[in-house]
Amino acid sequence: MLNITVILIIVTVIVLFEVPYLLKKRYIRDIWFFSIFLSIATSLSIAMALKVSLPNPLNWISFVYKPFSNLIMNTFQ
Amino acid sequence: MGEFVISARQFTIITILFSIGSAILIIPKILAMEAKQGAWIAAILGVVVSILLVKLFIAVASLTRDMSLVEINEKILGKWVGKAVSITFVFFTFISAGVLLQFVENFMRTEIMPETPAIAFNVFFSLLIIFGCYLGLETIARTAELLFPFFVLLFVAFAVLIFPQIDVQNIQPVLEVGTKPLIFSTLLFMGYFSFPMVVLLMLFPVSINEYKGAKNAFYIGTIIGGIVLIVIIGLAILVLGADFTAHQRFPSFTLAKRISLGNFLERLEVIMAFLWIITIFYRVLIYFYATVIGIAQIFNLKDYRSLLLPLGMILVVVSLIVSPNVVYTDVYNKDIWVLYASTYGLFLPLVLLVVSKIRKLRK
Repeated sequence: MLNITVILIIVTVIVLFEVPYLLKKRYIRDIWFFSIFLSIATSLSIAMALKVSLPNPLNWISFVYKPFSNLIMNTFQ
Repeated sequence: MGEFVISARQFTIITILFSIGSAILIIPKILAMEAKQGAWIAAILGVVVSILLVKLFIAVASLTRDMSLVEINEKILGKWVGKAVSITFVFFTFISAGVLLQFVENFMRTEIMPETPAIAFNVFFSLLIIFGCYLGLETIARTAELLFPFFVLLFVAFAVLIFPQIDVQNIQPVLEVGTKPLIFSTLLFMGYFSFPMVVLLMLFPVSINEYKGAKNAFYIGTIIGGIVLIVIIGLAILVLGADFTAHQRFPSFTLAKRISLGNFLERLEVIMAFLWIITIFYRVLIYFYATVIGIAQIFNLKDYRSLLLPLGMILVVVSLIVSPNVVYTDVYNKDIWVLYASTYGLFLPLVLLVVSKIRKLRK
């Protein structure tokens, strides 16, 4: 619980930091993307804090590149 | 976004620090594993071929002199294909930044501060990166200028202090492994040294106030960075021997531990570690900066700074999931990384050049 509270406090501080400036300058697209990324960040952080096992992006990358890797290994070894 | 302007000399220094990056810690081990005593030959070959690669990068940048790589993607491949390619590129730089951040945390925690919890390194380092990107490219460049003499001093001291311990026998037999492993090692070298330099194309033509000097800056930076790596690999093999180097987690660090002058100048390895912290910091910084600027350019955002904190948070999370164990990371570094980096470091520039030629012919 403490972990999640700390995360939410940090997120609130970030919002308080950034949003007034963006609103003042009327950067609407920026506010959209800021919110999207911040929600992704919050959910990932809370998932980490709850020790949920998150998918590893390197697995996706390996999935795509493994065949080529095998090809190269066979050529060179 | 505003035009950020850095000088050609600052770009040289950034190229040097970026190209050395994490290569200085990873390459000796991987090359010693593949090419054994011939690792230094593979390194020299790698640097020579990298110069050609830099020529390719400059050719891509010359297509439009004032656009970053993301903008060039859009211009040449068309709006939607270009944006899609740029999104995968930004994914590449972001994940690479996360992997490197994990590498820093791993190194600091296993060798220097074993009792600190892992997350502390990730969080503090990424706060530093966020702060650097927030201050902007000019500040990053000026900091590089300030750190560079320090780097040179430490590096020269390192080379001079370890030199007495060279055993020339270690380099024989010189070409024990055949041609194939040598070529493979050269590819591995380039995967850590020059393919990532495509990310510098986010900075390259745009940010520099004199175009001609900028081209030379890119070449000179590559050559000097390459020389540093060749020296390190050479020293690692000459002092430690090929087999021993191949089995170390961080051969350069082991090398630094060996410094002992008259039983007095010892235990200098942490000072030498500062060398690598500088270069790795610059590499992660430029990766992250390219990611943030790239996202801002793809989606036409007005100010990239608002993205820094959210992306920084995601970066920390990524760096914590990216390495479940050492074996996984080793396999990834050896088998997959070179190919992944070559997609953007080799194939993307080639595709861009070919498509731009086709478009010109059509007109």
